[in-house]
Amino acid sequence: MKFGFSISLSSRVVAATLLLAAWPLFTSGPATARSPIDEVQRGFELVDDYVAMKDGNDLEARIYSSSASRAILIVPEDIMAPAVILWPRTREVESLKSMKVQTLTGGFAEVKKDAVAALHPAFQVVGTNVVFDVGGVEMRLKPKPPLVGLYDAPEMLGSSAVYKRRAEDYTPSAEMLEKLGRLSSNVRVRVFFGTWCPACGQMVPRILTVAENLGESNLNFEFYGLPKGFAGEPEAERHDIHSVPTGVIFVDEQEVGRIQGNDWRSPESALWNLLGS
Amino acid sequence: MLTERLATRPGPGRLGLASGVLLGVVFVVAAIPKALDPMAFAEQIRFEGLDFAIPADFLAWLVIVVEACLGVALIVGLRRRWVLVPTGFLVIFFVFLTARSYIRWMSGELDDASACGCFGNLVDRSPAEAFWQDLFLLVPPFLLAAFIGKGYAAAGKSWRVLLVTFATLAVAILAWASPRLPLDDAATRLRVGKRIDGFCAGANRPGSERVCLDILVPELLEGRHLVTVDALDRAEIDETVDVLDRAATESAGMSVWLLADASDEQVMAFFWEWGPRFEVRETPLPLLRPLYRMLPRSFAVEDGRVTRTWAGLPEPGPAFE
Repeated sequence: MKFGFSISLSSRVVAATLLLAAWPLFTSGPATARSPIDEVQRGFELVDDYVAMKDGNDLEARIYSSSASRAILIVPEDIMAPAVILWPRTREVESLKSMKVQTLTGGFAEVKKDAVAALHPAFQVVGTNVVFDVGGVEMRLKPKPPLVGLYDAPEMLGSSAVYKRRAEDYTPSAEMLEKLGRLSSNVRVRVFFGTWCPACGQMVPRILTVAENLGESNLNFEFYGLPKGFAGEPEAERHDIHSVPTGVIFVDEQEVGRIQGNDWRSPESALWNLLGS
Repeated sequence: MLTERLATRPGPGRLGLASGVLLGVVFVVAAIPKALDPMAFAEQIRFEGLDFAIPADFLAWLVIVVEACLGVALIVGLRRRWVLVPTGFLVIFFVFLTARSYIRWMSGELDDASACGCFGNLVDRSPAEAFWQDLFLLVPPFLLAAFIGKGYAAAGKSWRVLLVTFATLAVAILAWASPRLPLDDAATRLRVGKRIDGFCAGANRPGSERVCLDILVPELLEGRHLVTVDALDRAEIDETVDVLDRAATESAGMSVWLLADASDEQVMAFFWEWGPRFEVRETPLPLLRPLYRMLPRSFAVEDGRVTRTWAGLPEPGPAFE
């Protein structure tokens, strides 16, 4: 079939170009928020970095972080309250269907497919707080304050999920533990630490494991939490503490030595080297 | 002139000459690291507030060139007025700088890590160490060189002046070009083979606070790690995020870190803005600054030892062989 008119080559080229440029207008649908939970999201681990608040009050919740997706998952202890997931970078906030969020032993969690119950307005970062709205209720994530003051090993393990998990991962030397357990003198080990201190995050859990294993012995462990920028803190000054983690070891209440920093890598060996002689 | 009369007094000529050589060596040893990283010296000049009349970058270059010129002149024995007078001024300038830092440190205004970088970033000195070292290394040799001995090395003046000229030109060109040359390993403390527990800031003595990288990032002591030093507020930080995210995603068995001088608030804001797949660790500037000339700078660490460095971001491909 012949057309009644001819179209020049240049006109065809222009028309084709315009069509290609306009193609996205015909193929894109309405803008929708990304629903990232298209598949099972694994690898959420309990973190100590934040506390959650709801309407200005503390919210009892477990907070998880995913190293893969970097999302933050908030699972309230109240099973009637929905879990919420926050996505850094895109600033998306989604509440999740409770049955699709599974908390696992060892401080892990998973989010199943099709878990999103509702989308909410983007979160805002205000100072050190992350503020967001879930169904008209203001919620907030704020940095967890450091542990300050005196604690024993069980209290430490109960207050920090990360310390507990790392303590469980450490296996001390049975031989050293046995030697330490046979010490007859009364030994007090006071460990100065900061929950804001990365080295403490590595070393203190190991000390906690050793403390738990030596529970029936003459070695008593106590942990003194210092705030960040602890210069001038009375207890730190009294013991002349300039860095953390620092352990001050007393035998019959006389200071016999100190163990500092990465020397705590094997706490049982470091203690035996000091006390064994 | 007083200096001429004093210089021609009979005396142990060799003592004056040797003192001049010693002072010259000190100047040259101080000038070379600064020539390799003039930007750090310029930062120190800004920190000291000395750029009130002359831009810090130009002043840094000028001081480096003058220091090298005078140093070489003293080494070859050119103890003439045109060398000794500016040398005197330079000695006064350096001692003044370190004395001021020392006073500010004693008053609590400065910490141990804020020493004058008069020897560049390769030498770690506290304000007290800097002051006393400069006082004894600079003042007595200068006084001996200026006032003791038979005076001027008149013989062979031309080749000496020629040598000084060439050396000065070489240092001037080096100081101008070095930011663009691949000299990071030579100009900074970060180089292949170094252990991360050797990167520290602060004085190593009782009562003082000393912080080392193995305390801030103890994870680096074991396993394989890729580390980048950068500033969270740098304009091109998005490129750093993309490269490190890709490295964190594609490289199994390796952790990726970004070290930055930042507050808790800045680190948190960075996390929520970028959702990085790598860890960000606050690291104080006195510890970080000697590790780079320009940001970003990257390195690979295996079991606590630096195995590779990059000027800039790490290149694509395996970081470890």
